[in-house]
Amino acid sequence: MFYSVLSQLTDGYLLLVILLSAAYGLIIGAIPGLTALMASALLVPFVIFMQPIPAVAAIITASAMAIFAGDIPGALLRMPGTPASAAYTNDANGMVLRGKGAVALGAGLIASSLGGLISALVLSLAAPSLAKIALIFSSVEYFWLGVLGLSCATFVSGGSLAKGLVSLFLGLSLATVGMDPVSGIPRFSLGSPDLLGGFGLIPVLIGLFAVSELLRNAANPPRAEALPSISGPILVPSLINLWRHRLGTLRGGSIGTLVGALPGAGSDIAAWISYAVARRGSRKGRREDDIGASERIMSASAANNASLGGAYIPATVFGIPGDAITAIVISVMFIKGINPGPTLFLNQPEVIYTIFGIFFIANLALIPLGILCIRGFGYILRLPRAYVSAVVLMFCILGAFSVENTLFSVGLIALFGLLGYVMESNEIPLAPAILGLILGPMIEETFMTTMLKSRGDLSIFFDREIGAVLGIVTVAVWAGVVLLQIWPKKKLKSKPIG
Amino acid sequence: MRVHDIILGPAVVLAGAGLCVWATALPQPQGFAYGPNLFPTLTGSGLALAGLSILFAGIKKRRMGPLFERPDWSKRWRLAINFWLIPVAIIAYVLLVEPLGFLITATLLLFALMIANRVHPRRAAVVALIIALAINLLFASILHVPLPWGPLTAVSGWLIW
Amino acid sequence: MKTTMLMIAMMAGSAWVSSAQAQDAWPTRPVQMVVIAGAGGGSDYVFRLLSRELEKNTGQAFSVVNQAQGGGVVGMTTYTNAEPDGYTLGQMSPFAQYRVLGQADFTSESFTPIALVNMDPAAVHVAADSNLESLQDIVDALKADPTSLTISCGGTCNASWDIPFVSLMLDEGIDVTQLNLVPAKGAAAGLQELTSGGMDVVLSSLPETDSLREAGLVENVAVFAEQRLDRYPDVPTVEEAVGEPVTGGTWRGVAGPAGMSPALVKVIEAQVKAAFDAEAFQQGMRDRGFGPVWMNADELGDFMAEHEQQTERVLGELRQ
Repeated sequence: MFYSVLSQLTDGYLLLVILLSAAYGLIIGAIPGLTALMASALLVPFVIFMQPIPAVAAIITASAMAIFAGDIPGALLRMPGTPASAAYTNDANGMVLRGKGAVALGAGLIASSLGGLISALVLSLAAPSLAKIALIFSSVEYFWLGVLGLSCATFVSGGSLAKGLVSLFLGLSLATVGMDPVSGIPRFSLGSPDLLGGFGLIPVLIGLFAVSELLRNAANPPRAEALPSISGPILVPSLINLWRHRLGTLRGGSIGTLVGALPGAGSDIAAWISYAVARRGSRKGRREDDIGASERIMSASAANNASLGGAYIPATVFGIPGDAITAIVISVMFIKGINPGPTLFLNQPEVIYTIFGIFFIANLALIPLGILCIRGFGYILRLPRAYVSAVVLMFCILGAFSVENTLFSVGLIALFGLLGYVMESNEIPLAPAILGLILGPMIEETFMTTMLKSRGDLSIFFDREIGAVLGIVTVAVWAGVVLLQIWPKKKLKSKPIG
Repeated sequence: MRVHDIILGPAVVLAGAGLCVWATALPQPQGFAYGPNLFPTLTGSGLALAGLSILFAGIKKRRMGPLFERPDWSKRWRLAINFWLIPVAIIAYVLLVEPLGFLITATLLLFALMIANRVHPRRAAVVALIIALAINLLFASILHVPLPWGPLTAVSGWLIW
Repeated sequence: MKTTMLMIAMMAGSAWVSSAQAQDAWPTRPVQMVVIAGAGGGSDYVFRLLSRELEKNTGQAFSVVNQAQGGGVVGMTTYTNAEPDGYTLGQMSPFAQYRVLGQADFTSESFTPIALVNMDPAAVHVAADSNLESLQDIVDALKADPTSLTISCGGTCNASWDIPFVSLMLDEGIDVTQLNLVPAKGAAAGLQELTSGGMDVVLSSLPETDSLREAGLVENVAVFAEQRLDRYPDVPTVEEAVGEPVTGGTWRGVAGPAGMSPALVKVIEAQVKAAFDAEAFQQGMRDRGFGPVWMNADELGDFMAEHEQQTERVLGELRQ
C-alpha cells in the first residue's frame, strides 16, 4: 500500500494541481479583503468535476496556503488577510515597523509549516481514536468550549479590560441580529430580509480591519518613507527562531490539532486560544519585545495551520466538518465518491492515506512558496500608496461580495470600516469583537439546545463528566481573570501598536 | 475622533441599555425555557456594565485630556475628502454596480480614488481601466463570481469562460 | 420525446446567433441560479449538477449564486424580486414555514413554479444501543409521556424533517405541544448528539446517516416515504411500521419570480426536463443518494399548495 500511495502522490498531474492551487491560495490569502474561505468556496465549481484525489488536493492545498498568506498583509499593512491571522496582527505589524519584517514573517511561515506537519502526523497516526473522543462531545461540552474561547478575548486584548469587554460584547450583540438559532424568531431585523440574514463574519472582518485601516491611512498625511522593506534573509533566522521557540511552536501545533479536531471550532478559534496561552502561560510569551512577539506569532501560526489538519480527523472518520472550509472539502469528497466514514479506512485506505500525504506535501511546499510570496508581496504592497489603497478597497468590496453574494454585505464594510476607525481611535481593540461574532452563535445555540434537552434545568451543565471538567476549568479561568483585576499587580506594559 | 472616557462610558451604557429594552419587545415562544430575548439581554447588560466601568475610570482621570478631540484630518479639506471618499466609494459601488455593471463602476471608482491621491488624471484613467479589466476577467470570467455586467449583459455569454 | 428535446437543444444552441426572439429563444445570455444554501452543500450539489447539463444543452452559462443567509429567506427574496424574464431562477424548497414563523411573507403566489427535480423523504434514527428499536416503540413512549424523549430536528425545527414526524404524532393523538423538539446545526450535528448520548431520536434524510450507520452507531427505524427506498431496502416505511400513511421530507425544484409568462415557463421546463433526464444528472444524484423525482410546472404548483397546507396545520398545532 505504501508504494501505491507513493505512486499516487508523485503523479505529475496531481503535483501540477497542488502547485497551481498553492499559488492561487497564496495570492488570494495575501490580498487584504480576500480570505481562505473565499479561496476554497471559489474553487468548488472547478474541482467539482475533477478526478477525486486532485479535487480534494486542490482545496486542501489552497486553504493551507491562504491561511498562512493571511499573515502577510496582516504584518505589512495591519490588515489580516484571514480571520485566523487577526490574533497576532499587532505583534507582526509591530515587528515590521521595527524593521524585523523578514524575521516576523519567516517565524510565522516556519511555524505554520511545522504546525501543519504536526497535525498531518497526528492525523495519519491517530485519526480513528481521536475522532471517537470528539464524537462524545455534546452541546454541553461545546457550550463550555465556547465560553472558554470567550475568556481568550480578555487575554488577547492588551489594553484596558473594560474596553476589551466593550468590544467583545459588541461582537456578541452583533451576532444576535437575524434569526434566533432555536425558535427562528427574527431579532432586530426591522423587517428587512438582509438583516434577517444577520451580519456575516467576513464583511464585518473586512470592515473592521481592512477598511478602517484604509480610513486611517487616508486621513494621515503621507509618511515620509514608505513601508519598511522586507529585507534580509528569511530562512536562516526562522530556523534559529524555530529552535528558540520550539516549545511554543509545538504547543501551538498541538493546541491547533486538538481544537481543529472539535467540530465547529476552526482555525480562528485555534489561533486565539494558542495566542492566549502563549501570552499568559509562558515566560517568553509575556515579554513585550521581539522575542515575546515571535513566541506569540509562532504559537498562534502553528495553531491555525495545525487546526486545518485537525479538522480532517472528524471529517474523514465521521464526515463531520470542523469549520466552513472543511465542510466544503467534505462535500467535494462526497461528490467524488470518497464517502468519509470509518469504512473509508477499511475499503480505500490508499485514498485516505494519499489525502493525508497531500497534507505533508502541501505543508512542506509552504516553505519555499511562502518565501517567494513574502518577497513578492513585500514589493507589491510597497508600490505607491495611491494605487495600492485604491486596489485594496476594490478587493475589499469583491471579498465581501463573493463570500455573501449580496450588495448588502458590501454596504456593511463601509459601516464597519467607520465603526472600526472610531473604536481604534478610542483604544477599543477590534479583535475581541470578531471573536464574539464567531463564538456568539455557537454559545447561544449550544446553551439553548442544552436547555431544551434538560427543560431548563441548569445542573445539566455539570452532570456529564467531560462537561463538568470543562465547566470547572472555564469557571476557574474566569475567576482568575477577575482576581487578577482586583488584586494589585505589576501592570503589564502593553500598548496596542499603531 | 476621540472622546474622553467620561463621554464614551455613558454612550456604551446607553447602547447596552437600549439593546436590553429592545430585546423585551421580542415575542416569547411557548414551551421554551428561555426565549430569544435572553442573549441580547445578556450581551446588552454586559455592554452596559463595561460602559459603567469605563465611566468610573473616566471620572478618576477627568482632568486628563480634552472631552472631545477633533481628528487632525478634519481640519484639512484634502485629507477630509480622502477620508470620506472611502465610505462614499463603497456606497456608490452598491448603488451603481447593478445599472452600470462592474467594469464601468470599478473603473470610475478606481479613477476617483487615484485622482484624490494626486495621481495624474490621464495616468489614473489608464491604470484604473487596466485594473478593472483585470479584476473583471479574473473574478467574473474565470472564477465565475456573479458580478453584474450592466450594458454588457446581452453579450456576457461570451465573456464568461 | 428525445427528438423534441434535441430540437429544443438545437434551437437554444442557435439562439445566441439570432437573439431576436425574446422568449421562445431562451436563453440568449447567462442565467443566474440562486441556491438558498452554501457552496458545497447538498442543494449546491444538485443545482450545480443541473446547471452543468443546462449549460451543455443551451451553450449559455448557468451561474450558481449561493445565498444561504437567513435560512434561505435572503436567496428566495433575491430571485422573487428579480425580473420575471427567465434569467434569474432559483431553488424551490419548503417555504411555507417562513410566513408562519414571521420570517418572510412568501406564499405559493410569490413564485412561478417550473419543475421539481429531487425529493428526499424524512427518516427516523436512533442510537444503536438505544432501548427504542422501532417507530412503534417511539410512538408508545410518546403516548405514555410526550415529554419522555428528546428529538433532534436534524436542522432547524419547524422544517422538512420534523413536520412529517409531528404530523404523524398528531394522527396518533399525541399532545405535540409537549414534544421536546431540539434544533441542530445540520444533520451531522444532530447525529453527533445522538452518538454522544444527548438525544434519543434524530430526524433527517437517510443518506446523511450513511457513515454512522456503517460504523454501527446509528439505526434507521422508519422512512416517511410511500415505498421503501431502493438504496435502503431494510428500512421500513412509516405505514409499515405503525400503519399511518404519512409521508414528507425535503424537496428541491426550480422556480422563478411570480409573473413569468406561461410560454416562457414551457420553454424552461423543457430545458430542465432535458437536463433532468441526462444520464450524468441521474448518475450524479444516485452517487450521493439523492432521490431524482420529476414534477412539471403544474404538478409542482399543486404540490406547493399542499405543502403550505401541511405546514400550516402542523405549525398551527405546535404553536397553540
